[in-house]
Amino acid sequence: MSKLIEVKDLKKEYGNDEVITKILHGLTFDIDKGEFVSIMGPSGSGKSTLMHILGFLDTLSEGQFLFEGRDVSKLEDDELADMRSSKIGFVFQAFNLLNRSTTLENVMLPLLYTDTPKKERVKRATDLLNQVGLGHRLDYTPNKLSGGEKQRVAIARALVNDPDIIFADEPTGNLDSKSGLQVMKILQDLNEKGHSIILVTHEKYTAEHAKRIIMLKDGLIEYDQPVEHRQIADENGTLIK
Amino acid sequence: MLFKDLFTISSSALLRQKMRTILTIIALSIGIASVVIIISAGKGLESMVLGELDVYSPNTLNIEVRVPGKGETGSATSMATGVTITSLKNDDMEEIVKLPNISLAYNYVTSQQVIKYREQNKTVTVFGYGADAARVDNLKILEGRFYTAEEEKSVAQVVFIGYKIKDDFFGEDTAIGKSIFIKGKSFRVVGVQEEMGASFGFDMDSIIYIPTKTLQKRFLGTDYAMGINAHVIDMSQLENTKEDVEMLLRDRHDITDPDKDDFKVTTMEEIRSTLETVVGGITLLLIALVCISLLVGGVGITNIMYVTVTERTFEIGLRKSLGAKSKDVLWQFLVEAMILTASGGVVGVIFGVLISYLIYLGATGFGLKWAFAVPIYAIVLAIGFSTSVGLFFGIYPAKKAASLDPIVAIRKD
Ligand SMILES: Nc1ncnc2c1ncn2[C@@H]1O[C@H](COP(=O)(O)OP(=O)(O)OP(=O)(O)O)[C@@H](O)[C@H]1O
Ligand SMILES: [Mg+2]
Repeated sequence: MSKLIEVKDLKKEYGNDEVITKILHGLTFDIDKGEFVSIMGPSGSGKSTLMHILGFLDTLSEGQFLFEGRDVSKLEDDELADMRSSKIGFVFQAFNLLNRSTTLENVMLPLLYTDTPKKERVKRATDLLNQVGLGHRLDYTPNKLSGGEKQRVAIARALVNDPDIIFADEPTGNLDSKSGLQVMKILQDLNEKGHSIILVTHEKYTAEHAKRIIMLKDGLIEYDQPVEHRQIADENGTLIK
Repeated sequence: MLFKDLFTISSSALLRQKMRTILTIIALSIGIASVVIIISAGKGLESMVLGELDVYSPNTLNIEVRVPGKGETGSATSMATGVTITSLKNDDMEEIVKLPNISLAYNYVTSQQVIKYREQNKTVTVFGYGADAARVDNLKILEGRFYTAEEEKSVAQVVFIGYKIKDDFFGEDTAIGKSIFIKGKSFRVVGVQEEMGASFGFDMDSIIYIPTKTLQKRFLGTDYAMGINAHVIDMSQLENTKEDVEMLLRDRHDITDPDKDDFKVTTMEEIRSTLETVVGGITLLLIALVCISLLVGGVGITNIMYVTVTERTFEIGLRKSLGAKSKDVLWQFLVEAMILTASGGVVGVIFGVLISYLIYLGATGFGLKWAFAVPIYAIVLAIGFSTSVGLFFGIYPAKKAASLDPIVAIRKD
């Protein structure tokens, strides 16, 4: 399998001249194409920070980050933008929806920066919203949606550009277990089709839907190992082993 | 990113902030409307001022007395200083007519007199004009005729009257053949002039014409004129003819130094171009002033766009996280600024044209020969300028938006 992500001694700190907060103290790991990895760790351990770095949204402070063998720190802004729009789907922990745009417009947003014609954009977004059970909420603005509905809009948006890699930050955090499992089913299906998936969660049970878990603690990797008893979600969200 | 999408995003963002958008457009359109109004009014003023000149034939060469060495126009100066130049004699006119390129000429004097018909009195300006004035100045005759050279030679007491005089004195009746009294002397009306309106603020209908000699002999007791108007035959020789006239008069007046000239020769062309320069200069000055107001409007655009960018930091960050390039964001805000300013331009042009039309209605209502004209270049200038203002003043906030770091921008909200 070819390498998707290679991270070497990645460090991240926030701060100004006076106070410096060290978040990540030196992480080293690789992720292959087609993998399904969960990143776990207690609140504040830097999971979201790491995801943002891996998704080209944030920069690392020290260390090395290769994406498909290329040093990300040496890529031009426009190349990063191209990768974000063509290769990556992001489900943000805080949803990050545009409150003044409709559900449909929110989901279509990433396609605006590709050369997809309007008709096609509407069709893809509508299909995905139907898939996540929001076909009847196309022209709602996010402030009229429940937390779980917002989360599903965010998931639909992450999938709309058919990305190679999906970063999902707590995608089931606001969902009941049944809806949560539906989301896991979608992710597992995508993974079957060859998409790489990186999932952030603090729930062991959810994390076990992946094939591998990276556990963060105190800014370091506590362990990085395959899932022994993988959870498989089915159509209806019920569990089969 | 497609332009159509850019346009949709930008215009819907503007529609969401209706009040702000409308106010900004109004603020801008005031400046733009002013530009259109000033250019149009400049044209109107020009047409009015130059239209006054149409009364005179372009072939007219004007010779006016002038106080030697002082001031530009003699008559004004001499009036102001009380100095009277008496050197321009009737003989001078006779000699000027003999010049090869001059066909006709007449000399003139004016005077204020009380005129009387039956019970009515009126103080009017009496134009003592030579008989050839009718042809040199192309005087328009409503009825009757202008007096003849014979009548002038014989110092006849004949009068050619302005339209209002005829109207006030005679009403519907004919004036021809009737007698009016000027300072107790009886004058026979030979003709009536067509309605002329005002020229440079002077009511050309409340005047009367009598032969120059008659005015000089019967009332003033002098033999000099205030000026001469001559008709030039070949306009291509205008400058030479002007010099000939100057030489002739210098010779007759014993003047060697042109600075000591007691007269000034002006062509209609010179008057016309002087007036054009003056009106053009005033218009330009006003446009420059209005451009300052447009600059202020432009700074307003910068301000509004800056606020918009700050307010929408999250949106910008999100767009960038989802694949928008810096230039996509840059264009989004530039297009927004340009839609704002272009709308301001269009609204401004509409109001500008409307108000210019009202000014035209008002001016013509006051009897001014004002023309309504909005040159295409004024519209192109106004809209082009306002859109460039959008581009120029929108670029700084748009650049700020484009340079935002995605994750920092998302977190800010
Ligand atoms: N911009 C920032 N400036 C300073 N500190 C920051 C910044 N962003 C995050 N942090 C800090 O970095 C740490 C890690 O944050 P992060 O959001 O990555 O945690 P997390 O593991 O995702 O936690 P959670 O499970 O609660 O989502 C936190 O302590 C947070 O306060
Ligand atoms: Mg987090």
